[in-house]
Amino acid sequence: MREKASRQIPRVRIALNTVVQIALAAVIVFLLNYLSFERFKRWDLSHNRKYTLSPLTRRVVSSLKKELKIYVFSSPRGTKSPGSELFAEIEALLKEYQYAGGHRVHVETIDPYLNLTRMLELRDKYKLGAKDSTDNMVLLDYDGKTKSIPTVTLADYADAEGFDSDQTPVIKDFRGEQVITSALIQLTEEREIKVALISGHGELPVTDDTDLGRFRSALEHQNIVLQELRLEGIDKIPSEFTALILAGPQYDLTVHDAAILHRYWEEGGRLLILLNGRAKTPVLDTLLTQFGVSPTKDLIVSSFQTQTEDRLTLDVYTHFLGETPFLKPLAGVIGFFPGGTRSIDVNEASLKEAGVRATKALLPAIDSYWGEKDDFLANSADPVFHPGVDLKPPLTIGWALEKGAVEDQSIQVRSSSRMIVIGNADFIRDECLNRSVPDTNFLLLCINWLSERQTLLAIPPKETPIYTLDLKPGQLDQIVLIVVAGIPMLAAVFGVLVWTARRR
Amino acid sequence: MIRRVFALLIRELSAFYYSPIAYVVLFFFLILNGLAFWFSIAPLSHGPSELTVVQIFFNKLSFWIAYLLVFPVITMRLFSEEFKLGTIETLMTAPVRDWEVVGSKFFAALLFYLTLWLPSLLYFLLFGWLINRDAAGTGAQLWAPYLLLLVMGMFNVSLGCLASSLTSNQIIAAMMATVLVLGIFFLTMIGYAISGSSPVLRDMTSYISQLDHMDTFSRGVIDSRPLVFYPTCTAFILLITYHVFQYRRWKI
Repeated sequence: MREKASRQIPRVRIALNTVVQIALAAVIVFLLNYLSFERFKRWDLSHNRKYTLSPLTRRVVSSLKKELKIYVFSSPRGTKSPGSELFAEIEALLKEYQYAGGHRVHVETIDPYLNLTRMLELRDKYKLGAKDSTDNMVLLDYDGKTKSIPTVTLADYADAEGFDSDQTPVIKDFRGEQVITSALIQLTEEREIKVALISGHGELPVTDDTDLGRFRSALEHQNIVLQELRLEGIDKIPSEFTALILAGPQYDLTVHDAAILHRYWEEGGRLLILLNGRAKTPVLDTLLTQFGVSPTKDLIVSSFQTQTEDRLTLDVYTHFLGETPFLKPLAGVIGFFPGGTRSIDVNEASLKEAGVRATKALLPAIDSYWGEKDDFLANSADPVFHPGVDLKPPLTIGWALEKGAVEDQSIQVRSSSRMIVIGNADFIRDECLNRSVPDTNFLLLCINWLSERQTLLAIPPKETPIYTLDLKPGQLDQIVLIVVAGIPMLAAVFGVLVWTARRR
Repeated sequence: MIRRVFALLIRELSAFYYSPIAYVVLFFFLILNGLAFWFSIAPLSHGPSELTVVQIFFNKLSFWIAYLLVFPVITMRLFSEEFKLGTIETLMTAPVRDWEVVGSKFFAALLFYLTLWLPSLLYFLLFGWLINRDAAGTGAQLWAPYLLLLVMGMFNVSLGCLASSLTSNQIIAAMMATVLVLGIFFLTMIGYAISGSSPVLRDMTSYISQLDHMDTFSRGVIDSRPLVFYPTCTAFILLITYHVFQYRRWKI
């Protein structure tokens, strides 16, 4: 009996020792994983750091005070449904939001076909519309405030007609981050920013969906509302407007209009003036001269060579200049300013006298251009460079002006007047913004600078690389033959050789 | 000590590579992988895609079938065979420590598992050579999934080792390993399967989800969490395996 008891003691001790070891190891493993769960790191080594969120998004997401719920209604199976081809991109993007926001951001994906109950539950909760609208969309819920985004608006497609065909549409640029962060800003920001688009001089109307739809929508994504404003009959620019845009007037301002704008500038106003290269606007030119800006009476003409001849064009490719601080994100990027562009000079002496700081914003990107002073459009004659008369490079086509700026960035009082003058207005039309994505970002940077939202830099869309296989006949068969038969057969032959060698 | 571990490792590797079964496994595994690769490039010849060949390959069902089924096959004999044939007694009386035995068996199985995946690298290189186009967007998008395959493989091989140490019957060991490997794989889907499941549950299941991890790594994003989760869990499972193995000693 005693012998048996003495044999059992080590077994119990060993068993106890084992249990304690395993329990301790379990605790250590749990703690290590808890730490890893809470404090993790991600390295984006993809092409163009495609999965890295912009500093703005990180700032917005990490500053959330309340829980943000993101519902993705999407079915990767329904590829015929517009927007479903973006499912993988959206899922990857929202994961990054989730990681950036920690426990405050929750993402739930609902396949309306597989999880009808949940879809109906959420549709009921958020009072959503017809079933089709929840097929492919992203819904943000922040503190009871909601915003729905149709998935199809998160990308630019190579072929706008792609949805009508049987082919899956090809994504050109994915701007999911731009749209979702903008929606988030709308949900979290208390105030809405209003910008006035001056009308009454033949400018593009704000309601024009065919020409200004993209510009307006880009502003709305940044929580900026564009409203039309007529200057006749008012004495002062209403204070509700954060900034004014004068976009390519076809007719000149009245003296009354010029006086209002002059006063507005003197009282800390914010102006974006886009000159109409083809219009004669002496009052506007005089007003700008009073500000220290001298629009030149020219049209920029570029020459380029084709295979057979030299050709002339009024389209101007420009460099955005990083020396203007708010344009740093676009430094070195090329923009497109078509239709007719005037060069703009500044009067250094009068700027200095008025205490205005001016920086160059836009320069033509190529050297083969000049400022043509002949009215060749009216004469229907080809422009020719006349030395001594026409303006030779370098010519500036955009300036940013600031008057009464406070150098100390920590002082947030709105004390300065700001103005951006561009010698072209056609670039804000949809057809141009569709062609040149940087122009939209340029406009957003301009408006955000004027609205004192320097921190709110535009988020550039991410280029989506497209992979296709242009196989020569028989190439796919060749690959399949090698990988499905060739390589396994090699392994089999090697196995037989080893087996034979061992048998000997 | 290193010499002992090395000798044990050579013994285990010999058992793998001198056995025709290893080549039968390799042969069928390569056929499965070859088919998976074919299924990955076939859609690209029909139309453009935003996904690279590497991304498609590592996120296809055909890849996961080959990946999950291989663990029971390569680990079932590790301990069970020794128990069945009685060679474990010789091993236990040899001047080697129990953890050295467990470690050598684990590493031998892991090396064989890596051997199985090595030819798949050839597919991508072959693809690049024939088509004159990279199979992955960047170098990292190619090596990151292999890094994950290594750490996920460590974890699943350790599960197989544990299953094999629990029984002397290879079929039962294989069944147990299948249940463990597939069980943990499907467990991670609970968060997605339950309608309106809590965010915490979704976060937790995402933390251990092999599907999520592979999706992330194949995009060229390296996440520190799987690199902590799999090695720590591997060490823990191997500790349990070591104690199960030791249990045999004090049962004698």
